[in-house]
Amino acid sequence: MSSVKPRARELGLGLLGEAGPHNAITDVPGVLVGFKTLTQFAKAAGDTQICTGVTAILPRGHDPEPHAVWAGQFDLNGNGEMTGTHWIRDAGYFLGPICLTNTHSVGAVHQGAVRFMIETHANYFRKYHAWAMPVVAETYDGLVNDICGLHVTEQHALEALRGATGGPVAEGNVGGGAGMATYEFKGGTGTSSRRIAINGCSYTVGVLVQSNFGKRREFSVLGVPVGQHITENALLSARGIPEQGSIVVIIGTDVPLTSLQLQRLAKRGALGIGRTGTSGGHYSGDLMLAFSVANPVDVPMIGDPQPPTYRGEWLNDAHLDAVYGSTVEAIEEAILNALLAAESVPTIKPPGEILRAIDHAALAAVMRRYGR
Amino acid sequence: MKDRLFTMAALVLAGLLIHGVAAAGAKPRARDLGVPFDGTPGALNAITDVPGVAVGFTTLIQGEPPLEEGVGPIRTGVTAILPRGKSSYADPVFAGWFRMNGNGEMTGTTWLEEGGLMSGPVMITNTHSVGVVRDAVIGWLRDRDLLKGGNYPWALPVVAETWDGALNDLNGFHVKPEHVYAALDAAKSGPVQEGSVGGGTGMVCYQFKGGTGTSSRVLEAKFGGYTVGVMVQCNCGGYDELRVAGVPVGPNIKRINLWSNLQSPTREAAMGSIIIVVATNAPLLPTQLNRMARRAAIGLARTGTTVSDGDGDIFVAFSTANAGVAKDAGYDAPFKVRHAEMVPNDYVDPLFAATVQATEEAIINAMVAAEDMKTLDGRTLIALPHDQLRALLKKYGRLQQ
Repeated sequence: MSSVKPRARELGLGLLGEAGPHNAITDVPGVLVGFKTLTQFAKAAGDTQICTGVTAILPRGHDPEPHAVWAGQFDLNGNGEMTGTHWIRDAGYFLGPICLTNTHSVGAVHQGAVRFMIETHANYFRKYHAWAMPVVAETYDGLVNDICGLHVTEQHALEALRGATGGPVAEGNVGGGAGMATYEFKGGTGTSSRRIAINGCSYTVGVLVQSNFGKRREFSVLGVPVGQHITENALLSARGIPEQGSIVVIIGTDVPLTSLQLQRLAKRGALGIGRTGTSGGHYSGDLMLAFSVANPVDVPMIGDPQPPTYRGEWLNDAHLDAVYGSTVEAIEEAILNALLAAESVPTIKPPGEILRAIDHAALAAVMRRYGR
Repeated sequence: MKDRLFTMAALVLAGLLIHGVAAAGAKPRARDLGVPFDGTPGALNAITDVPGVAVGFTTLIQGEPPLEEGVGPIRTGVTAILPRGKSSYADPVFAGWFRMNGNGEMTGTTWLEEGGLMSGPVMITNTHSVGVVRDAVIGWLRDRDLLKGGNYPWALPVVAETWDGALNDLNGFHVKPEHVYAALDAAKSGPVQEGSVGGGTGMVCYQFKGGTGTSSRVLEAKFGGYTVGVMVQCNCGGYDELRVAGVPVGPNIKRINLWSNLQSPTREAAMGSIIIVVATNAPLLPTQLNRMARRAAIGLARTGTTVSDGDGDIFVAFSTANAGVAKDAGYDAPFKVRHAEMVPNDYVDPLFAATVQATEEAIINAMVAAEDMKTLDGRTLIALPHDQLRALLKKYGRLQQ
């Protein structure tokens, strides 16, 4: 399912910053990604069409030791779901995977994620008084997927989770991003990363988006108003239907950041998506989560003696801007990557149309016209 | 074969439900025992005193300790609260929420906070069954043809949880979609069961058997005569913390300490959570409902807890007034302004007081209605003993004769 299409960087769009080796969230040490993609295209009118899936991100891989990650969260517009956020907001950390799926499968994936946590941290869940609160977020794929058919199962989530690996990450119509639309082009999963040098130390920030937002007219690439030039096949705008999408932005880093700093970083997620032109529609669930793999958090082994204090290191705020800038750039690039890797799919709502992937040559032509 | 399996499942389900109904009977409630409470309750002293609010349960009780993962014992369930009965999805209610301590889950709050409204039911279950309940709500709305007329082609259900792993085979995942359907289908107005029912089946409250509880208050006519109803799934509180009508009950009734074998600081404190649902027919706007949800914490405090690090204490408040105001307008329909009613802020204090009072009583009701249950390690977790409670109230001059 991995894409053979060129990524944004390979198109020579003039993206800023130095990407990591895979230009993916997996460039952050220890972070793994897995997908389960479900597709069954309708052959005749009335057939059930399935085009959806599950994306799994493991901040600490398959480590059996239950170490949480520090985290921060931000909603630009809350017409969406991300579970696990109550504890992230109060305690500043979370244990377990991050999963992305469609709106109506958050539950199935949640249960799969709970099961995965119990099997991964078997000792913790059997011996200690433990409960799981995984992060599961969603975007709506009802344009191309029978979302009310509830086709994603716990088993699918487990496959994505168990199969998570490092290295290059598939983009476009994969995992939870299978059925997504972005600026009324075919959207999906996208990723990107940046290397950051702070006082001689090298760090990475990696981003993964499930991109499903935007009205065509607003679409902008590196400041170029592409959506005003490529106006064909804007399925919703042509029917007077408002934006119905969402975007989930996951930001991972090995920069040692506190939960408060990560909350501030999560807000930069809004700036990253803002660069692509959207104004953050009412129907959109634009949800951001940032985590740091530095300073592993010991979860309470209830029943064991507890240390009185913890020590950790965190970034001097004076250096935060380098992290902010890289994150915003990587989000913009991840969204472009999702668009460029996506493949056209037939729609079921409205029926009988094609949700078309962006044409690389047409995009390049518009960019050239603006000197890019 | 499939049909037969379905029938068997239905019979098992029916059996479990009948068990729940039979257990309700004519049990005394906290005020019947002489516990003094402030304020005037509604006719049923239940959340269903708020017109239109319907409540349903599925209670799963099966097997005895010791724990065999995937088999049992099963002591869990599902609670469904529908603000406007079957129209709850098509006609959203204004809503607000508050997180007292976030070591827990309540889905749907992202949109609740953003939009100030809630479509569909509020569900409560155990920690590891949030997922199955959440998607089953969508399946139920779809199968009962209730998704039509909603504001969006998607649903973001509100599903909350508390942890029942001391009494239930939590990691056996015993809650299934059909249990969720059964709770939703069974939802009705009228008297509400309490104690070990629905999502509250396997709860522990102040180291007594906890569970589901409810109460209501009716405001004086000069304040609008509105009703405030509260429902709790109570699973919180430290061993020594319990106060009933201000009387230190917790330290004065001998019982097991579930966590006495623990060496961590939590031994002295509490572990658990409480979900509180506040309903009213007073016309309140989402900002006012956020404030009302915060008052649930004050009602909770009256029972003595100091809210531990391990608590997921999350509260939601909704108003059944302003029917139709938050309905789908349709982006393709001509623009038209809608008018909503609100209680002036000068008159919200009686509603806040009612919330505090009803929350306190709902928690004590949950404990009074619960019955002893064996823990997974075979010890007996006692319910709050009525005679000892009365004796303590009498000793401290608080028994209402």
